[in-house]
Amino acid sequence: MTHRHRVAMIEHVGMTARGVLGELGRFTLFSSRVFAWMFTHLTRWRLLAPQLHEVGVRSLPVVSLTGVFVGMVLAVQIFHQLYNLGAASVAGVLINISVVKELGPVLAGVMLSGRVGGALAAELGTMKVTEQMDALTSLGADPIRYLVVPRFLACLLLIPFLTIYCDFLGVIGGYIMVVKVYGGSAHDYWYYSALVIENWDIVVGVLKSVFFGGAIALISCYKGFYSRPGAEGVGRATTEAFVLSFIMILAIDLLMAIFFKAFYALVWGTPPGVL
Amino acid sequence: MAQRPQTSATPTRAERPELFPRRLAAPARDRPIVRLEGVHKAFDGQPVLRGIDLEFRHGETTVILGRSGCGKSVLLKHILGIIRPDAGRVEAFGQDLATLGRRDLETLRMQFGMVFQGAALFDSMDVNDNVGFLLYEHSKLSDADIRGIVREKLALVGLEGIEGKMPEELSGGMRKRVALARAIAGDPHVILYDEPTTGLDPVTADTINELILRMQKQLGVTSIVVTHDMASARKIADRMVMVHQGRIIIDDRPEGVMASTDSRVRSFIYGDASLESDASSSGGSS
Repeated sequence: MTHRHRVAMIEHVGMTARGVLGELGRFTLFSSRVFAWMFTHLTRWRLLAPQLHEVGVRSLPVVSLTGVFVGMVLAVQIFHQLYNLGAASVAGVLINISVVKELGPVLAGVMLSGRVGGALAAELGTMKVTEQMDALTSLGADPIRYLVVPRFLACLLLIPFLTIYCDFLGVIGGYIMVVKVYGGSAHDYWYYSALVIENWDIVVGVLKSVFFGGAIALISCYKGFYSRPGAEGVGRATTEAFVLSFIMILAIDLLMAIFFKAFYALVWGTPPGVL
Repeated sequence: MAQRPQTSATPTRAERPELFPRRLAAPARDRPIVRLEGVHKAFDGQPVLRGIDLEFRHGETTVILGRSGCGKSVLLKHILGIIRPDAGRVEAFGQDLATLGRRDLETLRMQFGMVFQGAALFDSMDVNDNVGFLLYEHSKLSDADIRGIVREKLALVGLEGIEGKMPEELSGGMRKRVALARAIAGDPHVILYDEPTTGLDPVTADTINELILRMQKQLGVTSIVVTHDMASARKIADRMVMVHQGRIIIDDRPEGVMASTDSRVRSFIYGDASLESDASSSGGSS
């Protein structure tokens, strides 16, 4: 490698680092403005209600499908293995603990980062490139307060409920496959699930989803807010919003799993759960 | 959206000033209402404005001319504080925009109305909510009173009975007129127009020109119009300013601009690129 190549490489690394740090700084400023508006001014119902409908009601079909299919697929994968080992009675436990602790929140989060996050980035990006955000500013309304805070709040409030709903349908999906299709015992399905799954497992899943909701809303609104001009800019913002939200969901999931495990051990002195 | 019963008369700002958005007193008539001093702006290292010095006076219609991408719209957004200058100073109503806090800047912006190039109507709201936005957000007027004011402003721009329509149901000319109605909803001192006739057929464009003239006569507002439409500029301008490569190359009465011998000005006025290239090949402007 020649000296010139080495200099070019260092220059490239430096430029990339500067770009990433700049983007992080801008995201931090953006997020702090969102929190500042949220905690200092009440968000009007007139602004929040349409977002609650958009995030909550319009996500129900996709979350329903996700939940039911997750439960059913887990049952398909697990039931026969356990049946051959003579442990079919605990199929419900494995399905339901996977659903409430991990797959329900994560898959609901991933689906919502596509449906809600994509829509947020595209909507705000379009508003940016058609100068609607400048129009808001010119009319004395702060776009972050007016556009971002209601969307952020709607995600923060409703994604946990959607996750609980997804968990519930996952449990039902598992039940349909195990009991109605494979002829397993309904009593075993409910009894062992109730015996093994703790409230803590459900709380962990729901708490994760609060962070997933916040991350999806902040990242997607940020990407839309700083969208580049034109159809390509909006398209790129939408794609980046989904990809980044997805990565953040996985990262938050890992960090929170480690944190909650340590927290549980600290408070109750044993590792959480039997499974 | 359910229609409310119409009120017989909506309060005017003069009758009930406390109900309307905060209003600043206009500076003395001999002082400029807006002033830009040595304004520089660059995007991604690309200079767009290179030292703009401009003053806008009361009740005057100033047309800012220039080729596409020369920084006209950027200049307009500096006046509202939507874009901040890299260097230089923007002053409006005697206040330096750089020194204002959020609330003061919001109050200042309410003294302006802006008509954006693509109208920039909020596509999730109907015409009533678009036009009445400023009043819904910043006034203490009742819904019925705001609806009354919206009807008045729409009538002023020649549109009636469209309050319930959504922006996508309107033609380009109607959208521009609704945007103008929104701009005048708060009775501003200054109206900024960004390419108000772009994309419109000649007859509709002329309707918009007539409206700009009417706004100035009926409301006594100061108008700042950014355009590259010479027909429109000739019709409405009290004064013309031409921006070229981020600098002002002429600032004069329309007659003075039309009589200019500067090849860049003449090239723009007559829409003839050869005038400019001829001049540059023969060693610059005359």
